[in-house]
Amino acid sequence: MNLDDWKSQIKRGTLEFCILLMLKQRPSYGYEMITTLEQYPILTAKENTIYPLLRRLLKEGYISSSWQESTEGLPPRKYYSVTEKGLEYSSAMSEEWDHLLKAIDEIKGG
Amino acid sequence: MELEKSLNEYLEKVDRYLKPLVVSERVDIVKEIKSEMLELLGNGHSPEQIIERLGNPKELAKAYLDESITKSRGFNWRRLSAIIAFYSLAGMGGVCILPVTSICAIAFMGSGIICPIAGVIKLLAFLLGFDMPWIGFTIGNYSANAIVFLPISILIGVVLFLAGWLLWKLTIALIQLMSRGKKTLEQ
Repeated sequence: MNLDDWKSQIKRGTLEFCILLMLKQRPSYGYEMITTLEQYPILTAKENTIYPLLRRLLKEGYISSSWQESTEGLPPRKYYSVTEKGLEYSSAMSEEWDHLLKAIDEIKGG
Repeated sequence: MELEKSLNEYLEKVDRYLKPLVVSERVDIVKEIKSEMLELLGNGHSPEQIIERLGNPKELAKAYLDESITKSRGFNWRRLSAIIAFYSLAGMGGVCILPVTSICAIAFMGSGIICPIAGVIKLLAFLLGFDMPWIGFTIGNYSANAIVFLPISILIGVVLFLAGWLLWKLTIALIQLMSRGKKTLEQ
């Protein structure tokens, strides 16, 4: 197993968590979220990962969406926001995430 | 807002590959990709750069199909058509194995349903005084009569249906495996 494989597995497991965390801050649209993630090499993901993922989160009711038609020269944007169910999901994930970090810290510390 | 020809062609390709999805969903997906194109144009990207960024339209469409196949559960026709579209995009591996497993799955499940129906028809015909020799169960010299044939047909039907169901699961598992393999290659 090489490092890139491992990194892509981590990415796969954490992207939906990151999306929910971003939407928890404020509603956002696909391209904006992709550019935010691009700032972090470990989380960088292409359109063909993020859009289908957003669609699944939408179908499962963790997020909702609404089209904002073009205003002042801006293109129409599909804004996503997190639902009540999504908030519950993300706080459950936060908890597990903390467990994971704590466990790794303890194991590291020997 | 109007787009350059190359970008419009890109969107048309994505739309065509998304055929198995419901129209409203396709329209929404294409509109969202178009919105990102406009966003990128506004930031000074050229159409060529945009197309390079979004990647092969086939791969982009496949990512949507992949997500809708492997993340939904159970059997339905929409999912089946999504699977067929997916493996037609998936290359030679998909061309050889998946059609066999998926078609066998449907054939087995279909036969599993028809079998007990045949059993019921034969029994009804028998009760009404007809004999239906072309429906029946025969091993060597033994031939089941209409009353014994019904439970046998139900049993065979259940076995066939289960075999079909397992093949269906196998098809889904293979698709998951293939898309995982593909993602590893992309890294």
